[in-house]
Amino acid sequence: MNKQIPLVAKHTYLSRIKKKSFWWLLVAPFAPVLVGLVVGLAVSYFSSDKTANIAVIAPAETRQAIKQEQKDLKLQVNDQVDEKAAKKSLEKEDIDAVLIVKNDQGTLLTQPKSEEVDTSKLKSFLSSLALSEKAAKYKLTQAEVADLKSPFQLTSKVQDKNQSKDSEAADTVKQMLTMAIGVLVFIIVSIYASIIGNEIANEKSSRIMETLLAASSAKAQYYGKIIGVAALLLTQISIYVIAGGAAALLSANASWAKVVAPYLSALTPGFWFFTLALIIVATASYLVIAAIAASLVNDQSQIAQAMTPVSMLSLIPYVVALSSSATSGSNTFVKVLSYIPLMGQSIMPSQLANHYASWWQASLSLILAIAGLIFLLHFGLRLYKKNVLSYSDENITKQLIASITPKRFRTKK
Amino acid sequence: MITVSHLNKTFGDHQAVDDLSFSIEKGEVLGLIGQNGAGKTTTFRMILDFIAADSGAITWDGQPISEAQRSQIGFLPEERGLYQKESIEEQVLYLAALHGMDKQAAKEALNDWMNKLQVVGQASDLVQTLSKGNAQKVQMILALIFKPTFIILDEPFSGLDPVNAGIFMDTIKELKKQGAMIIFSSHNMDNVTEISDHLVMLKKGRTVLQGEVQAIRESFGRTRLYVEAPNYSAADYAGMKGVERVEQQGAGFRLYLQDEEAGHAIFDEVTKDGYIPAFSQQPPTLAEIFKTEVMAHE
Repeated sequence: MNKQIPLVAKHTYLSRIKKKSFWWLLVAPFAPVLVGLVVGLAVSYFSSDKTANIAVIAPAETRQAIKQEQKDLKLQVNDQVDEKAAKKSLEKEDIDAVLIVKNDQGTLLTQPKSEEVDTSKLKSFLSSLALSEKAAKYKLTQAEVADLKSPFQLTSKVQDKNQSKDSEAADTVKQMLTMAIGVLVFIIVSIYASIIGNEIANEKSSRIMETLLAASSAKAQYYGKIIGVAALLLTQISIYVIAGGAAALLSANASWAKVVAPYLSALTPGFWFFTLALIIVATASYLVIAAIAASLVNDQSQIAQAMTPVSMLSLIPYVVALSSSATSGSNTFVKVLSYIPLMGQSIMPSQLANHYASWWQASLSLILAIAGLIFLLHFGLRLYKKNVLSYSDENITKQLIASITPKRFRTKK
Repeated sequence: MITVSHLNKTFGDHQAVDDLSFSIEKGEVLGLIGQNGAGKTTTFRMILDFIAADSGAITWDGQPISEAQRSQIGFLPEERGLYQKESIEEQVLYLAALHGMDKQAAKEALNDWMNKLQVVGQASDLVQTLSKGNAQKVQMILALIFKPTFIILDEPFSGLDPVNAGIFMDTIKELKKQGAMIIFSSHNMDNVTEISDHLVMLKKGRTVLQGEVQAIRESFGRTRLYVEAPNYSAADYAGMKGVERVEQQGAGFRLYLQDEEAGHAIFDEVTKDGYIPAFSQQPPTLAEIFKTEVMAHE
């Protein structure tokens, strides 16, 4: 009988992976990023296309310095030096802006149809120019000027019993992790709960379930489908990991990689193990819940209704992950939730990364998640057996509640 | 041998199956008949362990049916269902594998079965492109491809034209010859009469008739008489002793008798001048018995 589980898993896996929808699924998470990138590039291309025509009314040295840097400042400095004439040109909208610099004070005048002037860049340049002029006036050396320009350095550290880590990197990582894991699990659960829901609902609505159950057991169908869909998820993750690894290798010397590397180095292999293990166990648990909900469906039109409670459930850790980010993760309620199966995967990793939880606490969270998954698998099998051949007009949620009441819980072994 | 003993099943207050017992020997066909909701499909579902019986026992050669034996039961469900977006071959091979059949053997058997059941199309055709009749044939192949020794067919002839129903009947007869134990349900009493060795008639879960088909018919007496005799009209027959009703049927008349003894006097009367083309005294048809029993228990 155990031979049937791999057969069902293989059939579920192959029939899904052959569909175009699975390959769209691989690309889909990147679609918003790609669209954003294209839009960003387009905006950047068109905005950098034109430079602002500006009249600079300033001492000759200042005017000359700005003219020399006009390309970097995205300005076109015209020949006007008379303030009144320049203002008149601005009124007529013949030019985009007038910059007046007097006694270390500057005023930038623009008109409604002006091309955009990068004021922060211009301000920074003018400040630097003013500083250089003052340094020359006070006869300071170049080293003294550089010293004056350097900002104050503040480094904060968290003192841990066992170790101390660079808190700046860990803080950033924590913020990113709580967001990323919460979003990731929510997206994965939404997509794969829908897949397993479709698989079961399709077989129920097409009435092929009786043929399948005559050839195999409900147990083989139940476990086979969960394993098949989980294998699809692992395929998707593997493709991302391989693609990500290849991208990392190819761009090892890229500037963005150098920026990201110090942050990632704050996360140890142990951290990655617990995080991935918690995500996998939690996702499997949600798949089981989705399978239970799908077994109550009569036809395809009820899938969305059946999957709503699953999505709502997966939304809770997502919201908690966001709020724990705001409360720095030291909140007692958040700490308790980090041990609860179906919730811990979104909270415990950030707790761990920020030393709010130790390794043994993370281990406990993982053990509880695995125990929860085992319970759900057994509990789900009983409900699946009970519901997979029954067709009811009742509301899905009502059916689910009725299924778990003791009186109606009598199912065959 | 499959033995069902004192099987009971209730759904809430509704008694779906009430103290049902029967057995099927090797090479025997059992017809399970009854109106919709009589308990036929519930019985099949209990044999297949889709639902648990409240009480009673189902055994195979005296032992409870094991998981391994259960996967060797060929089953054609009443509600036909196939993976519409898969090819015939893909799903037949998948189901055959679940029944423990080797892929190559299943491929060869599929080809044989497609020829035998005269499926129009190729094994590579998608199920969604098949006609209803051909889809039903594919469903039949799924039930039979792994050479099951116990076969359950729930309404195998429903929706089939007479030619295809004939193909299914021939197939069932051949499986019977090969020693398979077959139980099937049908509303078509002609088919039941032709292929069943035994039958069980259910009425609201209760068994109202059970036994060999011919013996059941005979138990109602030979009260149906078909006669073709020159010079006798419907009025002549209606006036004869023991005749309840007369119907014209083709070149002759069909007479409904109060009891089979009345046939003797009618025979003497219509043959007094010698040869007549037809005189056939038979028990009621299964369809007539079915209607009688249904009415009797209303």
